[in-house]
Amino acid sequence: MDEQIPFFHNVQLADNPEPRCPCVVVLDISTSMSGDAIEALNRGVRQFIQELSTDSLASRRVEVAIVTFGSSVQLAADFTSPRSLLPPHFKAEGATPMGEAVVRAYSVLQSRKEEYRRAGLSYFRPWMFLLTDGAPTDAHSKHWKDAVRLVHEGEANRHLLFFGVAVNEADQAVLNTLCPPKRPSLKLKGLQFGELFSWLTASLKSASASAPGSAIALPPTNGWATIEV
Amino acid sequence: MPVFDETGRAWELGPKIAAGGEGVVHQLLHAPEYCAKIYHSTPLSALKQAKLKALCGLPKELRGNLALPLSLIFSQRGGSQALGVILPFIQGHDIFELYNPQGRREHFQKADFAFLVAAARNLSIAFKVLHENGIVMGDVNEQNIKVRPDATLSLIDCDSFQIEHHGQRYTCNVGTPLWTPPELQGVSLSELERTPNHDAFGLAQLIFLLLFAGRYPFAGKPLNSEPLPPEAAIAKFAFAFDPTPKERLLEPPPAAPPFDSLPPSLRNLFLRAFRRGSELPSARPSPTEWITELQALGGSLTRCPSWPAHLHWKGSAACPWCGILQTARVELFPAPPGTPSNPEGAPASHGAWVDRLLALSFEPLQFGPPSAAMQTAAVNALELEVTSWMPGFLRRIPFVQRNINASHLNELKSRVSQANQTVGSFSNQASTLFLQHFAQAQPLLKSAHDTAGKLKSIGTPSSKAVAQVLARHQLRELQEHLERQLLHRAQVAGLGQSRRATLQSYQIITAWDVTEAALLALPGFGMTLTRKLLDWRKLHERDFQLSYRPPTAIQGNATFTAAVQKEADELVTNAKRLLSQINEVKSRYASSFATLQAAYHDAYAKWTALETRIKQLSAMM
Ligand SMILES: Nc1ncnc2c1ncn2[C@@H]1O[C@H](COP(=O)(O)OP(=O)(O)OP(=O)(O)O)[C@@H](O)[C@H]1O
Repeated sequence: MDEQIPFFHNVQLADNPEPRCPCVVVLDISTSMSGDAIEALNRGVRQFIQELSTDSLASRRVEVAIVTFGSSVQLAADFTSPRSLLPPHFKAEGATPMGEAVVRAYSVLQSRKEEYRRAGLSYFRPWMFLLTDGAPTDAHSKHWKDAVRLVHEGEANRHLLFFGVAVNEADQAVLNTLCPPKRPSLKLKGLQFGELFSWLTASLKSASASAPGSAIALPPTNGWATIEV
Repeated sequence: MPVFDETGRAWELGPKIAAGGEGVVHQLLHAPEYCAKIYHSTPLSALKQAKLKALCGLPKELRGNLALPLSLIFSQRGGSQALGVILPFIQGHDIFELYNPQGRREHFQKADFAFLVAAARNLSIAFKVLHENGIVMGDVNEQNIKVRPDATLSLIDCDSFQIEHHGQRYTCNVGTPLWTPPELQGVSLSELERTPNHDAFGLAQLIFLLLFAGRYPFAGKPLNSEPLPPEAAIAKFAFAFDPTPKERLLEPPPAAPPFDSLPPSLRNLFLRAFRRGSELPSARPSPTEWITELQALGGSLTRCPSWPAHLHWKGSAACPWCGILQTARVELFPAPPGTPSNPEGAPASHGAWVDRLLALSFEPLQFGPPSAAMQTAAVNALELEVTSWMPGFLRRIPFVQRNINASHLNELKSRVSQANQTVGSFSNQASTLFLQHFAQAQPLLKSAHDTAGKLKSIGTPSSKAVAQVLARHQLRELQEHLERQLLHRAQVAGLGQSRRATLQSYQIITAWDVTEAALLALPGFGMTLTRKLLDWRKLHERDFQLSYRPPTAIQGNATFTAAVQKEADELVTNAKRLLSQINEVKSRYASSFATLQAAYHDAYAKWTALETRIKQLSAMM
């Protein structure tokens, strides 16, 4: 028998037929995030994964992927259940290829949706959650144009829920050209990644217990903005 | 905080159990059989309070199936504005943890298919009782039913049910799209009258999930490229398992039990519950109909001969669970822990072993969160750190306190980043530990795959036993062929009468007897003649090879059967050994992982405690 042995069987799809709520988190880890910011981000991500894993229903429905951008665009974690995601430790370095990162995140999302379809699983409206503290260094590239188009089309067809969050000195004006017009970017207070990710957890819990298209009651964004979906 | 029930008795609220959209559920100290639900928005509306009061007054017989409130509670003795209610505390797990294969492995390890059928029947009984008492659950969903380890269950969240009391109807104003029947999709539920036929949709969906390994009736492979989200599929009556739909939108998902793994009478109930037309009054199967059919199913289950933990309807063409094991490599009913994987006396077919071997995998374990107790202990330890050496009177002076706090805060801040890195370092350690063990498991997995391959080819020409039998057959045929070639008729140059006589006298009569060793032993046979005779034999061997056809039917052959059996036995023995070796590596991995996880929990609790303290102290500054 020359058949190769797959490293991990992807049994998750057959073993857990719950509808899925995919969420891709797109993180800026460029040089400007060095120091306290990257540490706070690392902690926030870890807490996010922990909190999601402890909710019995959400941990069976929500799937998280992480795309980072800095020196390069990386798929730091492909879609998996929060219980089997070991969050990587991010180091801050490099530029801000945000457009490329969004395009990559979008394609990771598309292929996961294709896997759901093949496995006969239904899924809730996917989330893309982007965090940045700068301005895209690829704003004049094709990537950026594609990113803007993908986000806007996805939102218009209700195939995507996009959230942009600005950290520190982020260029919110540019970020808002990426965000869907009806949901402009939010500004993070200080480095309160903990609060931010708790909010994301709570929102994903309520989204994954609801159904796509229906109005999802998102919790208030304590002190940083109100979001209407 | 003390709260008071309607009789004026005081209760002490304990820790929070869970929070929902409407309220928080607390333990009651010294009364573990009860809990209290305190509403977020108080004072409650007059209508809500009247509904809660009415719920308390419903017949006692209902309490076996419903977590009905026992009393309103107030902040003062004899109050009039209720804060919440006292509820019986319901043990058990949410029903989705039972029908979901992963949840079942975690929380209901002993639940086999018979257990699922029993739970489905008990669920139908609860709905029967409910409906007979004029109650409609309304918001049927995966989180409002708790199942106990004996397959009995209780419906919770009764305050949303639709009830009638003293001629007054209290409606159910909520619903969950994934659980809403087609006729109510997109309809405003507020003040809407719900009917038992609406509940019958949720009941049927729950029963379907229980009997079809957690598969949703309205999830399948979309036939066109547009995805069909669950609520849209429900609204279109797109029941994916319908064998003869009017319009097919979804195909049944892969790796799901086939629809006909259940008796026709049950299938029929599902079709009545999910097809167009089910929205008409009383069209969906009633709880009583489900009870009858589920009772019958429970009595007609059989054990799969190749895997005793697989129970299924005895009329099913094949074991649905073996089918899923073959297609998706997922074992939905592993033998419960403590039972041998293949009890003696239960003959496993080769096929079953092939699937079992192919389903083997070795996956990384994941850290769970530390217990709440551990986290609390870590916070307490931090608090003690600063003040334990100091006499109490000093600690109570505000100025001293502030100073201690300020310096402590700085110290904590300096430690937090280190603590965080420590926590982070565990993911590397976990991967290393996994890879170490994976290295041991990988050759075993490889052998398991090889063994599976050999088991699969048993009885086909590529298997060892068959090859041996065939070789023996061919040799025998060759011998017979050569024995028919008589030397005295051979035309070989240089073979005269006297030589022929010599051959004869040495019993070399047919081509079969012509071998190099035999000829060289003869007197007066030189190399040339020997070679010529051997060539003559080779000529006939070649004739034989050209005309030989291996037999196609040796199945009935006793030697063959015995050889196959022997090879199969060897392979199965090997399979058992591999299985137990892999399990050994797994359990070694699990125990090292548990040690690592304990250290991780410790580090994690210390780190979050630092964060918590820093937040507390900063707030005090
Ligand atoms: N009687 C009970 N015994 C044990 N646990 C309970 C009980 N009642 C509620 N719970 C737990 O508390 C959680 C919230 O309760 P409940 O569903 O009644 O609140 P809710 O505010 O109406 O929430 P929802 O938004 O889900 O309707 C439940 O999911 C359940 O796990």
